[in-house]
Amino acid sequence: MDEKQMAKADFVTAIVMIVAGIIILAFTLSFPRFAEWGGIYSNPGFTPFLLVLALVGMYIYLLFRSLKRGGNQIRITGERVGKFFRTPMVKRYFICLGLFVLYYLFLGRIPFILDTSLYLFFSILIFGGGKWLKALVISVATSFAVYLVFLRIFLVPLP
Amino acid sequence: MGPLILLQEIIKLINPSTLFEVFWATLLGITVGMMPGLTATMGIALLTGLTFQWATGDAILILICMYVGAIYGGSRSAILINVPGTPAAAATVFDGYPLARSGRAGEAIGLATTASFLGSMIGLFFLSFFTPWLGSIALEFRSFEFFWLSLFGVIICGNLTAPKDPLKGWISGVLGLFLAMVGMDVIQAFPRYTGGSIELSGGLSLIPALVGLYGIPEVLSGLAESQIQEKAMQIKRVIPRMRDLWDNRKNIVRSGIIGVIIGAIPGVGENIASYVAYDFAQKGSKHPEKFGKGAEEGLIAAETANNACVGGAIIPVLALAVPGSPPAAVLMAAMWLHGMRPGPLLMLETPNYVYEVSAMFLIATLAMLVLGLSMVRTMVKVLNVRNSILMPIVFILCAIGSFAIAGRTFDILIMLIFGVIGYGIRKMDYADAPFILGLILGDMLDENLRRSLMLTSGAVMPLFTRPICIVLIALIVLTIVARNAHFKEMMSETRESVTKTLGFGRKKRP
Repeated sequence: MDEKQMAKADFVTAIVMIVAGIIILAFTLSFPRFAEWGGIYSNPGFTPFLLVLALVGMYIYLLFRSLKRGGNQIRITGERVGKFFRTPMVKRYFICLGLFVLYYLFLGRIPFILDTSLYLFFSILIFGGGKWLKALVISVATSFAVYLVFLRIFLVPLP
Repeated sequence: MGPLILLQEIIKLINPSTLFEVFWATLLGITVGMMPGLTATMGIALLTGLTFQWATGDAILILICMYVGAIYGGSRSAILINVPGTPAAAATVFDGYPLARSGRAGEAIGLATTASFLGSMIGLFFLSFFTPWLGSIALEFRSFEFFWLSLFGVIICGNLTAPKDPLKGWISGVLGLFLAMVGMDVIQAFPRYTGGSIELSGGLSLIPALVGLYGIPEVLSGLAESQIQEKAMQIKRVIPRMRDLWDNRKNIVRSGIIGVIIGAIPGVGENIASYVAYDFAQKGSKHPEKFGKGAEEGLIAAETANNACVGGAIIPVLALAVPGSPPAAVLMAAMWLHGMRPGPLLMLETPNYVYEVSAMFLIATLAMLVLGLSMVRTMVKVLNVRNSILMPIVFILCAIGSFAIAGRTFDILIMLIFGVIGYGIRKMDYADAPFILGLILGDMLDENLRRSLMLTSGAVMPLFTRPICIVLIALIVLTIVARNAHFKEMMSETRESVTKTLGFGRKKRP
């Protein structure tokens, strides 16, 4: 990210975090007070309140700094958003994340070896690790190897 | 007494099964370190999950071997393909790669291995004999001091690991501290920010969070951002010449001490140590112009410092329960998981444990030297494995490592969430080390702040007037103010005026 892009990213992050911080501060105030343990300092919300307050303060500073650097000059149009999502890197990023989530969702629902083989097969195939036969051999062999090594040598329970 | 106990602990480790474990774990560590994208922190976090069912001694030994091996292993890819295998080897690239390009790849690997070994030995010396001393001082620490120590750790770590923008380093640290508040609080067992989830009531699982923070961003970058992978170079002679090492004796000692000192600073880590040592080596060199063009001095300084830093980073883990680097943070979490209680009381409860860890460190260092000088040609072939094949496998290992500790798929979700957070942190120039340190030190900060105020019935003065507190507060203020432009200007003006008044100063080089 160049400086201009960073300023814009800082601007958006700062706003999101300030709003989230204020919500968390309000929520923290609703924590119960254990009067028998002492004053306000003994409350379970005491330290988190101070930490979030510090975070909000730092993000306010970041917000002003990003404003100085022109971080508020953001123009969101449908065309720009579409262009962003069509970037190969962003596409690959979301495919990668999608595969992670699918692997997680199927874990425990289908056998571990099958889930792992499917994840590896599609990942290797999509990200250019080889043609389908090579991807299939690597994914199945790796899944079996992982299953045996971790279950037998490391005695790790698998999902 | 110390050296004798150390010797006894070393003898205990010399048996075939332990040595076998040491060799495979160090070899695995070197391989992990070699692979760009796989870091020491991630390797230790992964192995923590996988060795969770093992006996405590064996598991910690394996993690130390992974730590030592991975920090050294990063130099291989730095020298051979111009990409540091771990952040710790970032300064190794400057002279390691030019040396390799001039046809001296094997020699560079040999020098890096020997320098790493010597650095580790310097680290070992301080770890063995300095930790008990620091531990005895730490016994003076009470809740007041521990509160300031945890705050100091996060602030100095944020300052040093985010040099471009310390504000983001501090934000990262405070965010980590806040996320550590999730779960039951340590005093009244009130569930905070759990949303009624039973899985979250015990807090965010540290190892899955750390695996996510370090592993997932690497997998995402490795797969989503297409990078050109360079082929590893050919290797000839590996054993270094004694004369080269002798000529660099001052450089080695200086870099080793720098590594240990930086390692002992909370959360800062091996990468900063190697940069600082490299900088000092260049300033102290008779031929500074050769740096960056294949200077042996530069390579030796960087590699000595990063491995010395490993020993340095374990010192505060054992003496204060404050990790000196991100991998040491995971090592500390692993010690907790195995029922160890690093910190000041360790010196009273199990005083020999420092020597036990030192013995493990020594054995791992020796294994690193042996493996580092042998099997070089075979091992560098790993560097030719394509990211598109390696990274999906790494993801599977991350998932298993996260699952293994508690046997909950929920922890894989934690890993994924922290992975996305970690990716964002990196892309937006927030340092990840303070975030991790915050996660680790959050409980310490919360418990000690509230406990100290409860002890004084809400009086804040003792927090600011106890001698160690005053030192820590002064260090915190100095850390924050030192980044201020006006302060820097003022300091430079003061320095100039003092130099003029006293009539001395450095002569500028022609």
